[in-house]
Formats: sequence, C-alpha cells, structure tokens
Amino acid sequence: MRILIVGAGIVGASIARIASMYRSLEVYLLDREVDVGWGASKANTGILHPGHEEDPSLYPLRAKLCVEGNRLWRIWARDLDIPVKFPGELMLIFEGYENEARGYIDLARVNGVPGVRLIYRDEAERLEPLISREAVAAVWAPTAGVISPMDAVIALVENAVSNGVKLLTETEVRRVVVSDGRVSGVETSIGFIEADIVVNAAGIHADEVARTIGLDYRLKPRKGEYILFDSFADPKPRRIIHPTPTPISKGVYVVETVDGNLLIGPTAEDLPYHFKDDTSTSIEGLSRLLSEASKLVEKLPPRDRIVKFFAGVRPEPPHGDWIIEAYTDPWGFVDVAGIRSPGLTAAPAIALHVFDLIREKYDLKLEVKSSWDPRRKGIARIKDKPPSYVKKLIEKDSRYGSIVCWCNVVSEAEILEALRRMKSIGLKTITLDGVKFRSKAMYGFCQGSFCRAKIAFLISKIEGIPLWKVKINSVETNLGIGDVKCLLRGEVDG
Amino acid sequence: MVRYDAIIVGGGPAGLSAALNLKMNGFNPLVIESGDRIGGVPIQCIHTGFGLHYLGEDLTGTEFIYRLIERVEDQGVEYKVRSHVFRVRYPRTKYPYKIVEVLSPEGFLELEAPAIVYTAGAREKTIFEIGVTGRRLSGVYTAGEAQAYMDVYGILPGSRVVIVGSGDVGLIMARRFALEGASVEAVVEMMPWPGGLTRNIVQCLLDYDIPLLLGRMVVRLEGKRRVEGVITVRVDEDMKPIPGSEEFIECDTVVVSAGLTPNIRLLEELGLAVDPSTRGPVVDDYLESITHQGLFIAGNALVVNDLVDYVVEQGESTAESVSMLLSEGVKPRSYTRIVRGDNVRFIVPQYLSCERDAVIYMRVMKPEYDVKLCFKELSLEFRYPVVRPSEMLRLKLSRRDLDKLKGSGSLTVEVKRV
Amino acid sequence: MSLDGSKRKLTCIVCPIGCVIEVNVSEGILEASGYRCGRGLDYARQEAIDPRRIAITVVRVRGGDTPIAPVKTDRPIPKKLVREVAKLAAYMEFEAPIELGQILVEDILGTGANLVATRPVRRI
Repeated sequence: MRILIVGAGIVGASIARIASMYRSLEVYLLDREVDVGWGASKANTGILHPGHEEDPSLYPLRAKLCVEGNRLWRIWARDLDIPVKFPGELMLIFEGYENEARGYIDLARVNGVPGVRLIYRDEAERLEPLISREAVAAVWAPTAGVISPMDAVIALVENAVSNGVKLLTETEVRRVVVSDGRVSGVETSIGFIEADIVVNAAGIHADEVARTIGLDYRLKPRKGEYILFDSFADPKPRRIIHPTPTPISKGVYVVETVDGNLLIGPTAEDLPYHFKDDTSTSIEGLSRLLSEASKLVEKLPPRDRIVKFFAGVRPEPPHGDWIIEAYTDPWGFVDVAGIRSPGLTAAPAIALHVFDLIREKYDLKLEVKSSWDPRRKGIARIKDKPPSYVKKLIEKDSRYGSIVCWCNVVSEAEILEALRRMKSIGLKTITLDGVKFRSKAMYGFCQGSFCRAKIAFLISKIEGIPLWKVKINSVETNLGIGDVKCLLRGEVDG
Repeated sequence: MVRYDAIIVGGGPAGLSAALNLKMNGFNPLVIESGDRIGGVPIQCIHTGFGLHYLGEDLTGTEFIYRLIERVEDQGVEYKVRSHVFRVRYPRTKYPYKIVEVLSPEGFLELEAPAIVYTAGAREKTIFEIGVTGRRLSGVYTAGEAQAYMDVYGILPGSRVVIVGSGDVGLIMARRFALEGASVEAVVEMMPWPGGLTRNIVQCLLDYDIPLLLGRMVVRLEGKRRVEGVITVRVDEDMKPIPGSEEFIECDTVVVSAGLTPNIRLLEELGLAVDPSTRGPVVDDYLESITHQGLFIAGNALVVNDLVDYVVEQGESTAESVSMLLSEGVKPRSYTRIVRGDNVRFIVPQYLSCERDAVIYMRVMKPEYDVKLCFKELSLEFRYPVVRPSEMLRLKLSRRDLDKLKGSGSLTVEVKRV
Repeated sequence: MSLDGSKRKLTCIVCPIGCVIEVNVSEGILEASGYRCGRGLDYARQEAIDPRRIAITVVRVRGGDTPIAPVKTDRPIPKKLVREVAKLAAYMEFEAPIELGQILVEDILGTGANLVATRPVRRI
C-alpha cells in the first residue's frame, strides 16, 4: 500500500516518520520547495507548549494532542538527537488579569498538565529576574520547552528516509485524483504519482489541495514577524516569557532559543487570502514586537545586537480547531489542515493520531518493521564542545579544524557533512540556505558576509557547477549571473 | 604548551606589520590567520590608494599587501593559516602568560604568550542592522562580499545594482560594477553628505554618471525570489522617514555598504572595555587595552580606518609597545582621560599616559569649514580648512606637549569655528 | 564633453578641501576659477583638457589558484579609453603562473601604457 504525504513541514515529516515504521507501507513525502520545512515550520517560535492554554471544550484536538506532544518530544528529541531544553514558562499576569490566570490553572488540571501553578511576583522574579516590574503574578508551567523547528524537521526527514521513505522535493501537488470513489494518486508538477492514501499536510496551502476533491474551507493566512538577537546579547531570560493569550494568538514570546539567541515574536497579522506567500517583514511589525517585548521584560538588549528579522505565515483554520480527518468518501484522503499553534508541540501526537484514524477508518493491519530504527544522529559539531572531543574529531578528519564560519565556529567538515546529508535524503537542488539550516553557518552575526563566498565555493567544487550557478534558496536564485566579464562579452542581457 | 613572545590574531596588514616589527626587534611572534592565506582584506582590493603616506606610492591594495607578504616570507615570520583563534584566557595562575585556544587542521592548539596583538579587522554591517524590511530575497550582498565575488572568485553578482550607503567600499564597488558592464542605478545615502572620500565620489560616481541620492534611505526590498527593486524614502534631520516620499528603484542586486564595525566578539567575551563611539576597544596610547594587561589592538579591530597606511602604523605601534613590555616588563601607568567635545565623533586612544609621543586618530560628526581642532587643557590648536566625517584625522602630540597633563585629569578635544 | 566652448564644474581631489573649480575652455585656452592653490589649478587643467585615469580591471586566468588576475595600466591613460580597456580585457585569457607586475599586454590601445598584473597567480 502506498501512502503519499503532501508537505514536508513539521506535521508532514512527523507523519512520515510514523509511516516509515510499517512493513506494508511504501511512503512518499512530497514538498513543492527545494528543501524540507520551508513553509510555516521555518518561521516558528519553537515553543513546546505545556497545554494549559488550550480549552478542550472549544478545541478538543488541540488540547489533547498538545499535552501528549509535549511529553512525546522528550523521547523523540532524544532518539533523533535534536537539541531541546525545558526551561519552563512564565505567563505574566498584569493587574486586573488575575481571574484569567485562574482559568489557566483550571485548564491545566482538566488537560492533565503537570506542575502548573499560579505564583506571585516574588517567586516569579526568583525564577526569572528579567520579568517586567508591572507583572503582579505569573502562571508558571514547568513543562514548557524550546526546540528549533528546522532542526526537528530535518531530523525527522533524515530518520524517515533512512527507514525507507522517499522524499520528492520540488514537487508541487496540483490536485488529488479520485477514481471510483477512491484516491488513486496526485497530479504534480512532475507528473502523476500513484497513491492509495494521500495525507494532506500542505500547511498554508492545505485548503487548496482539499478543494481539489471538493472540500470547501478556507485557511486564513496569519503572518508572524520575529526579531532575532545575537547570542551575546544581554540580557537574556532563562525562562520562556509571554503574556496572557488572546483568541487570535498566544502573544509575543521572549525566549532564548536552543542556539542561545534571544528571539522575540511573533506578531499576528491577518493577511488577505491571496497574500498567503507574503513573508515580508515591516517596520510596523518590528516596532510592535519591540514595544510588546518591552512590556514583558525589564530590559531588552540594544538594537545593534539584532542579527536579523524574519516572518512566516501560519494557517488559521476557519473554526479554530484543527482539521484532522480520514475520509472514506473518497476513500484514502486524510486531511491534516489548519495546524496552527500548538502544532509544533503536538506534531508527534498528531502523527500517532493520524495513524489511529487510518487504522480505524481504512481497516488496515499495520505491522512494525523489525528493521525500523527510531534513532538518528545529528551532525557532529565542534562549537561549545570540550577540547578532548574536539581533538578527537580533528584527528579523525582534519577538516574539523578548518573553521569556515567564524561567527558560529562551524568547520569545513560540518559543511561537507551537511551537503552529504542533503544528498542522502534526496534533495534535487543543493542550496546555501539548506547548508545554513543544517550546519548553522551563515547564521551568526555576520549573516554570511564573511563565509558565504567560501561555502558557495565548496558547493561549486562538490557539485561540479560554476560558482555563479550555486543556488541561494531556490532553483531560480543563482549566486551570480556569470563570470565577472560576462556582460562585457554580451553573454547575458544586462 | 607552546610559548611565543606574542600571538597576533589576524594576518592582515595590521597583524603582518606588527609581526614584522617584532621580528626585526629580535622577538618571536606567531601570526594566526583564519583564512586560507595571509594578507587579509587588501588581497581583494584591486583599486589604488594604498601606501600614499606609508610608501609614498599609489599602489593597489594587492600590490601593497604583497610587499608586506614578501617581507614576512623573507624575514621568516612564523604564521599559521586556516587556523582560528576562538578563545583567549587569562588564567591567574599563569600570569603574565595568556592562553590562546586555536582550532586548526593540526588539531586543537593551546598557545601561550605574554602579549596578544589583536588585529582581526572589522566586519560589515548587514542589511538587518540598517533596518531594511521585506522578504528574504536573493541578490543581496554586502560590499566586501561582492568585491570578493568579483575580484577573487571572478563572478558577477548581478546586472542592475543599487548600492546602499556611500562609504568608500560601496563607492569602489559602484565603479567596479559599472566598469564590468552592469548598470548602477544609484548610491543611496541617508546622511545629507557622502560617507566616502571626495576622491572616490569623483572617480567612482561622477566619472561613471552614477546618481548619488543624499538624504535618502532604503527601507524595503521588493521581489518574489530575487530582489526586483528597492523602496527609498527621504529622511529629515532626525533621520526619520518623511511619509509620502517613497520612491521605487528597479534593480536585481542590492549591495549593502552601510559601514564596518570592529570584529571584537572574542574580546567582548573576555569582558574588555568597549567604546560605544568606535564600537572598538578602549585603549591607551600604547594601544593596550585599558582593562586587559598585555592585550594590544591595531587596525580595523581597534577603529574603522580609511587608509591602510594608518592600519600599518597602528600595527607597528603595537609592536613597539609589545617590545617594550617584553624588555622592560609591566610598568604602572596613570592616565589622562580624553573627553570628546563639540563635533568629535570619536578619538582613539581614549586614554593617554603622557609618557611619550601619542598619535591620535579621530573623526568628526559633521562637515565643517575653517575650523580649529582644540586640545583645551593643553592650549593647543590645529587649523583645518575643512573637516569631514569621511576623512579620519591623524595627528601627533609630542611628549613635551603632553607633559603638562602628567597623566592625570582629562583632556577635552573639540572642533571650533575659527 | 567638448573641448571648446563648454563650461564645467569639477571637484578637485588633491587635498581634503575639495574646491569646486569652474573651468571653461574656449579657443583652446583654459579659464579656471574657484581653486585655492597651484596644485588645484594643475588638476583642473589636466581634468579639463586631457583627463586621465589608471584603468583597473581583471582578466581571466587558466590553470591558476584563482580564476582571475587583477590588472592595471602602469600609467594613467585617457579617461575615455578606460571602458575600452575593460571591454578588451573581457576577451583575454592568460595561462598561470602570473607574477606580480608581469606585463600582460604592451602598449594597450596605443596609449603607451602596459597592462600589468597586480596580484600573483600560482599554477595548480
């Protein structure tokens, strides 16, 4: 039986991992981009929510799967070698909002979220000295965590592919094909691909895919902007800090990422439907972030410590709860759409839930392969490692001692390993951004102005392509237009 | 642990000059360079303007640096390439030796020396640091990066270029692009005056009919995958955008030349005192850090210079200071603190011992005509027909001049109308 | 930019003052105003009558440790020929190794200036 997953974001990749467990399944994972996780997963706060902000009477799926996902990530992160930390979070309560706070304590109890307590200012300050002096209390949730969503997607896909999943990038699904009431496959930008079960995990484009089989709902594009500060920026909070949520969004977070950077965001701006691909940042968005963040912490680092700002668009489902359904008419269409926050947290639980639905609705006996390996090791990195570890790595491969990205201390060996892994999961096009997400080169305060040329040169040597043809982040975005004299020789239109 | 007399972090013009002079004085320095070869940024500078003061010749950056490289090879100065200093330690038990941790293909090295000369240069400000919003589009390069592509790797980044910022690197690149057949649509400068030397305004922009837009700021990039244009706005005296003044300039390449900033992360991790007006270390007239004994800084890591000649002078000056340290040991010093007065953007060094001649490097905040640079407590004045932010001022105060201050109190430096 | 009967403003680059010098060439005689010193007058004269520049560009290299070598003319050439030199250089290709200062093209475009390499290229 062939199962085809549309979308290699955090949800699709998690589903692919679970799918890869089963003996009788041939699994295809598709994405329209050149690499995995480049939709909403790329611009995500990276919080593993405890689950006390989800009202099960309004959004039962969100509540249940968030708590389960928070628990599952501890195992998945360990098995998949994904850096994660659980510093806990403080939802700051300002004067007049104390009753709201109690509501979250109740939700914590109902949802079975461990350790959530209402604490007063002095205890909150001890947990996190940076909190705004205007906060009178806080809801403390110790099971909150931080993960890098891109690290997670990459790890999931590597593990899925090593367990037999076939990844097809640069493959856009145009429509789901149904014949005789059953899914027969998908029409894509590279032709028709047969499948018995199609799982729609296409993120912001999931409603477009669903529409091709007659399902009529609209996902609202909601933009979120972020500001990322240098890891050396001071001060940085130890705990995750955020305000009380609104129906629209959980509010702006102030959090130290797993890589040690200070991240502020997201904003929540509803976009007109046809602007769903608009990942542009704006002055208004950035000022709003700084002003919201200033309400949460006593002090922000100086603005000259800002490394970059970016934005992502997330899919907001029409009625707030996730659309997760396995259809029997047409047979084989599984919709996993509108996975807004806490989608990242719930992803492992969503994947398991989807397979529960598949087993139940399609009456499938699924046997786990004996060869299935839950483990995957990340790229060995030298940054922040003890000298003995580093010495051993350099002895094994002297290129571990040749530092290419000085800001983030990334060696040539790590760059080469990133390239190897991109090829081994089957990416058709190698991009500089793909190398960046895997190796953390070009991610630091110089944003590549020192090292991008060198890395592009390495790629051009390994791929055997001219330097100017090295791709930045898509098939069309070349580093240059030709050799330095190409315009004078009239070889390119000026 | 291998010991050297001095460890020089960075093998560009400042580091190589420091090493050469130390070697000539009979000491044993080691230069550690992160790149594939020594030489630093001048290796990619194919334009002239190097060595006018230092050598009395107008050389290209490449010719200038190869003179130094030749002397380094001839003198047998020891250096390592592809080697990256990633930490400096000041272990109390090993005083006065500092430990330098190096990552290199040879392995993880720990080296010790009583003196460290930090000459790791500056880094370029990114498009984010200048607050340009929009999507993450391809076709955006910093000026130095574009220079490496064209003049080291031999590729052309794009064909229709907008240069953000009128600093010298941007002006030089405007000319490079224009000469290689690209269309340079504009150089956009947010200040009301240009950021680079007049010589470059004339020979890079006027010679090539490239428009210079003053008092304008690039605020946004437009495009789907690659940049397709920029939006600029006019700004008022407070650098605030004037609504309604938005203009679109079509292009496929954006070159960011928004300025350099000293590359001193390693030193910040040590807790070194930093001067916010230079974004570089606080030093005395020996170019020694005011907080960290035995740590000397020269070149663009100390302060962003206009001329390689000053960079070399600073390198040589640290060599003299280190030589003195190695021969005579640590001596206590008292300082006169320099205070910045009217129209002084920064002054280096920030502290004077007054024990010897001191070379002062400074920049003004805005252009002024017919001025005198006053050293108040010394009753010294230097006249200038014009002072510009783009042209660094260098002057020497003799020991006799400074004796009056006796290494105490403060010295106010200000620009006054004549 | 005709030689005769045209008035022009140019910025002197000899010293930081940057005097704006107005020049007018009529009947082959130069009139200039706005300069403050003799060096400025010399500069204005040269710029008005026979502006010259060092041409700086790159040429492609085969078999070297870099694909290009930077070059310059070893003396200033007429300003209007600089673009020509760059265009000519677009069709040139040289074999590594190249020495710093090596003359790659003699008497380029009949200017009397040689095109010399300004950075060595090692053979690999």
